Amino acid sequence: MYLYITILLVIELISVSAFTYLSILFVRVYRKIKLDSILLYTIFIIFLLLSQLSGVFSIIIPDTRIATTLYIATSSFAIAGFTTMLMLSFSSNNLYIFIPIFIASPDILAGILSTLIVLKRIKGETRYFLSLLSTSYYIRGIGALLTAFQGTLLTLLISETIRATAAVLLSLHHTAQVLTYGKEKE
Amino acid sequence: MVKKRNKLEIVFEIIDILSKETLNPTKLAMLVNMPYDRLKKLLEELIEKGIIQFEEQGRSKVFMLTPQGYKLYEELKKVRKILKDYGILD
Repeated sequence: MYLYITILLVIELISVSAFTYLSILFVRVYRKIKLDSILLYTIFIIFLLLSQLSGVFSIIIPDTRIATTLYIATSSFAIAGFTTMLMLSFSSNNLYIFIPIFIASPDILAGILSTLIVLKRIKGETRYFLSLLSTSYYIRGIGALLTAFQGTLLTLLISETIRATAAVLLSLHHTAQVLTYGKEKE
Repeated sequence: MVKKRNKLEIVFEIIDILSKETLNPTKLAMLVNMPYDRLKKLLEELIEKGIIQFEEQGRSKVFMLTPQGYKLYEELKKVRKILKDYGILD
């Protein structure tokens, strides 16, 4: 097992080095040429680099919970990278049909995961704010699909408004919890 | 059917041609195979980015790569195969 992890780590580190080199090279090219196609490709490479880095850290970090989070981040970064790459083909072929599914699925997954967290763990007012955030992800996912199939942009706008509102409420709620900590004690 | 070239392909062609010789816009338009008015806009953009420059020779202009343009050309040649694999460059 130890040998397997060592070999895997060496392989991952080689790809991290290669992707780092490519990222630097493409950032340099983009800074000089400033063309959209180079920018999208650069973003694609950077996302793959982030994906590989998450993979490396998921192996190194002994804490199972953090390692699992990083393991999930590996594929999430890869999805983001591949979606960026698909954007390059957007006008030239029919792949655009699949793009909404790519965009919608992480949203729906985020919705399901946040609902599970709300049901399993969360107490107090945080429950309402996180539920709101969770709802926004469902609407966002459905909105992305509806828009692709001649739906309305209104769904996306509504979901973005709910998401932004939920996020600001959640962050303010937690900030208030931090700030009022000492005062409550008094 | 003739495939429409993307902007990067045209820019790469311009840089490739100008890396070998300095040219006036008429001949450059002919070699790049695009109308002069479209090429003019692109050349202005490339001048603004510091990739090419021009010299007045009598009544006409002669275009050439800047030192930064040569560096970009070398870097583009390095990444050309990758871009070709992804269909970004032809």
